[in-house]
Amino acid sequence: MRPFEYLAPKDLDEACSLLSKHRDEAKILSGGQSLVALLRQRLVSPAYVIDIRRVPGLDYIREDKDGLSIGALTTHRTVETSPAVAKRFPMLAEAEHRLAHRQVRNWGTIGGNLSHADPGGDLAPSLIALGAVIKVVSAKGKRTVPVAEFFTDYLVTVLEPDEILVEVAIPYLKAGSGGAYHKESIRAGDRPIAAVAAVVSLDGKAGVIKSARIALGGVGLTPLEAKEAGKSLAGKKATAGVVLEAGAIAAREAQPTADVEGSVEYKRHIVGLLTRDMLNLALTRAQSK
Amino acid sequence: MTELSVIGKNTLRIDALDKVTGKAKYVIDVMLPGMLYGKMLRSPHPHARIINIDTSRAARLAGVKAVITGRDISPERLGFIRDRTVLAIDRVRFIGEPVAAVAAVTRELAEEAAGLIRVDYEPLPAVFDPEEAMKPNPAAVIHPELLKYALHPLPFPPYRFEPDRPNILIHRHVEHGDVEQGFKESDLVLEDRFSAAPMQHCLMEPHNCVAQMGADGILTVWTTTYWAHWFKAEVSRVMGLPPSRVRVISLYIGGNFGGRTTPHLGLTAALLALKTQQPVKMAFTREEVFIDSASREPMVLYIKDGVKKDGTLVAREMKAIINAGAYSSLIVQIARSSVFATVGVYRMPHFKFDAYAVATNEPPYGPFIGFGGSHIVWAVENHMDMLAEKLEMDPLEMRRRNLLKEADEDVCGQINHSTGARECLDKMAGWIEWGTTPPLPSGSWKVGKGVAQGCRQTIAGTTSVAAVKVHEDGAIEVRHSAHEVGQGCNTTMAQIAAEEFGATVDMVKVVFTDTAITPFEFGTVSMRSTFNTGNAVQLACQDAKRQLFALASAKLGVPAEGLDIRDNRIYVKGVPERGLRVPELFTPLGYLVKGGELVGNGVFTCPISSEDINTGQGKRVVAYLSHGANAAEVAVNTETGEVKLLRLGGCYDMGRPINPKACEAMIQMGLAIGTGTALTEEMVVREGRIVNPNFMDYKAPMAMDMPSTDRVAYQFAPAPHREGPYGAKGFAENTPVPVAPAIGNAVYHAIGVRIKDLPITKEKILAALAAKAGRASAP
Repeated sequence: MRPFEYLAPKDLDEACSLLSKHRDEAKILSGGQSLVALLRQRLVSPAYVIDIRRVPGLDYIREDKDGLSIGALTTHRTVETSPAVAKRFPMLAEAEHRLAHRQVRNWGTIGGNLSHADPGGDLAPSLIALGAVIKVVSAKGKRTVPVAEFFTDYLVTVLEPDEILVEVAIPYLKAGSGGAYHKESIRAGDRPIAAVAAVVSLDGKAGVIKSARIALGGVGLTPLEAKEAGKSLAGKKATAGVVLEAGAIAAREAQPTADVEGSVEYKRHIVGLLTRDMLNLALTRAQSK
Repeated sequence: MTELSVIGKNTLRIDALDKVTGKAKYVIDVMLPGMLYGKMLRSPHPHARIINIDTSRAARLAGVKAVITGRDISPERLGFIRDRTVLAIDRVRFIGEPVAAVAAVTRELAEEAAGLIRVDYEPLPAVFDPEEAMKPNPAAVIHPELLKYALHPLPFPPYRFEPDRPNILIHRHVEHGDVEQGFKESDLVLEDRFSAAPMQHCLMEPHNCVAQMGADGILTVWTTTYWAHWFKAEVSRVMGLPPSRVRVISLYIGGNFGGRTTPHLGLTAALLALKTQQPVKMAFTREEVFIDSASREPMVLYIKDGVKKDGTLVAREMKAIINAGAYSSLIVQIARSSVFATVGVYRMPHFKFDAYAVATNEPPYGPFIGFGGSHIVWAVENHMDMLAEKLEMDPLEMRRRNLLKEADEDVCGQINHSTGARECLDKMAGWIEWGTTPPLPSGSWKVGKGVAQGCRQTIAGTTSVAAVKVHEDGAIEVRHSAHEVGQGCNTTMAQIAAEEFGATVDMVKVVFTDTAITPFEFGTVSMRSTFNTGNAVQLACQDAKRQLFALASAKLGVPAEGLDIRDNRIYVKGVPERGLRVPELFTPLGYLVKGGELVGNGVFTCPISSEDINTGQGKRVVAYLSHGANAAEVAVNTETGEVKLLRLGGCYDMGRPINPKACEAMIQMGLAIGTGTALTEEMVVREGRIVNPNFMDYKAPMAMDMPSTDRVAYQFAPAPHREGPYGAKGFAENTPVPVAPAIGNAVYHAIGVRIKDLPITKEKILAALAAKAGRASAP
């Protein structure tokens, strides 16, 4: 780890102005669970670390009219154990439950997790499949970005050097919809061999799939949406064959590289299996709603 | 045996409170005024000649106090085969080999300065595969000077080199009977190849040290070693200092598992301390621990067995090819010792064993709990199941038929004693409900059970010395030099002293592992402390009691042999009301009129016989054997290849458990290490580079990966050893040994495929299932 200057702004305005001043030379610290690892591996070596943990008003889970809003400083453990999350998006609570270990979840925040853009991060696939959006602010103003468009490259997002992620907003699922997420990993809590999130909406009457979104983790430079797999299901009756076919398409859409978690072939194989299983679980949940 | 009051009773560790409150001191806690920080610069090449080293920029950096390279150091070498200098002198042999070191006022400056050293290398051809490296004309000869190196003068059999195959560091050969004849007499002959991946010890405390040259001319090194006296001798030899001017202190150590073989670290700090005349602290990063601490060697094993139709073993031939990495470390001892993992277990009328430790340009490998025996047992215990299946026999019955019993002679010519093997196997068979059908498989999950037997020997011929001082208040001070690495040896020694003095453990104070204060100890290796150091402590207690009784005898007018001691009081046997309290023997100022101080001494040397270099035959070539068995129940997912460990149990023979709770903790440790060995742990080394030198990418099992506490078993099958303190012997190193084959056999039972290369990964399972089904790849 290289020496850096530690800054601790009192509020969001101060954080934004520090960030607009130091831009590329600064990194934000919220829970430290991604940043400290990157610092140690010298993948980043900022001159300034801006610790926003004392910034008020960023730690909340709010049930709004159209969706659930989660503040950037909310820890994984808070999301995992939130009754609102359990009620609205059980798949998100499940994803959090498998994210690293409880010690990490007690420290790590959703803002830090998403901003660091680990392709194997446990939150992104579910948020993409759910159509969530990210709110960012800077000294110049604010904007909103769909999670599906947030990640641009390995550990890179659309965030400008002076921007801070402040909130994730997830629209409520309509009746007849359901979602599921699972990651296959070598050890409990490891980064994934492959992870799949699936969200489906059924046409009430005929058991026909109105729409489906499938997102993958750990099998590309970024978390990614298996768009073709999702499209392949639209307008089809939910049969085992259709679901299997979607799995095969998703496996082809995955862009894995070989590493200690697994070979390219194995990761694609797991994407296929998990897509099948998560679609089936999402369909069961959709039918019960 | 008489009733014991402390031995065999669950005893709270005497260091428990200090450890959980953070008061316990480790080497990393040592901070001295004016202390500098040292850092090594390491080679980026697996094999290269050092052309030039330019240290001028590093030396000019403000705050840098010393820079040393191979040119500045003694050419004295380290290792059993003396093949490694403290820093590389003219050639580097692995990626990560230290070539220079810096001392600076802060750790950050030391790191920065190390980065300013410029080294010009001329890369040389490298060889990584031991089966390639051991050929007569290998792509690279790692140690052209091998035959000229000095050898460590320990009382072990001479080393066999193979001059035609220059990378073979040792060839170990054991032979009994005639295997060819044996195979002819057999009804079934089966042969196979097994292998095992390199592994990390996963020590909680990375290797670290502080070296200080005192104003009195004494060099003190605080270091995380497992053999302080050994290290002291190495420092003395390499630095050219008389032994009386070297002091080694180890304090508490955060884990051992065989992983404390880094004499070059303490010596580098010592060289920097000598040069700067200031204390120097050095600590490995986790990455350095992976690269440069001699962890578990990869091994390839060939096994050929001949059996009769009734399952009787007739002949066994094994060949073990051990990747030693770039330097020999303790690999010659591993090559020698590994054979006992099968020698000690089964009756084999004809037996032949060849182990080759082969130098390559991978990082040096070395001792790891099990000491090569785990690898042997991995091959043997898979093969026992394979033989049983061919013979349509119960694999447990097959083992029972061939287990050595008490007083049997093994294939090295030793008479078996203290043999809990059969009881371990039977207890595990009972616990896992062997022979009952596991719950019916559901969906893609299949369930299976497996059992394996294992054995590990302790080195013979070594010495431990202990002293016991009786204070004027009667408190008992035990001085020993075994290392408290977390295993609880201080508590064990306190229990032995308490038992001997009829005292409670809180009357005993333990002073440990400081070569200026505590007596000679061979080392905390080969699970030898309870047996060897324990014996020395018991003898020291008995010596102290003899002295006490002689003093009391004069006062009481009773012969010394008629006296005994309990609760700090010496009394006449049979007349307990007649006696005196121990403090009454001392003057009010706390000394003894006769003798001054009361110190008992104990020396224990485990007997050893000669050993035939050509056949491995000898009457006493190991101290003792500890036996064990494991049972596993697994569920295997045929779609993903995932193995879920449903139940895992171990039963072991420790002669007598001195502190049963501590023994259970040892079994817990062994089950976790064995599980990692079986399923997930592998240092991935490509072209000599470790690609996963961190705990995110190196997959050691964690609490969540182990079965819950109601699904594990920690059992004992103690067979007392006639030479052990209270019958006790070491067993901890055997605890992981049979785990991997038990799991492997369970996987086979579940899905009908056998993975022969450790670890048993998901991908290997899928590939094997696909191959069995005649498919090219995964479904």
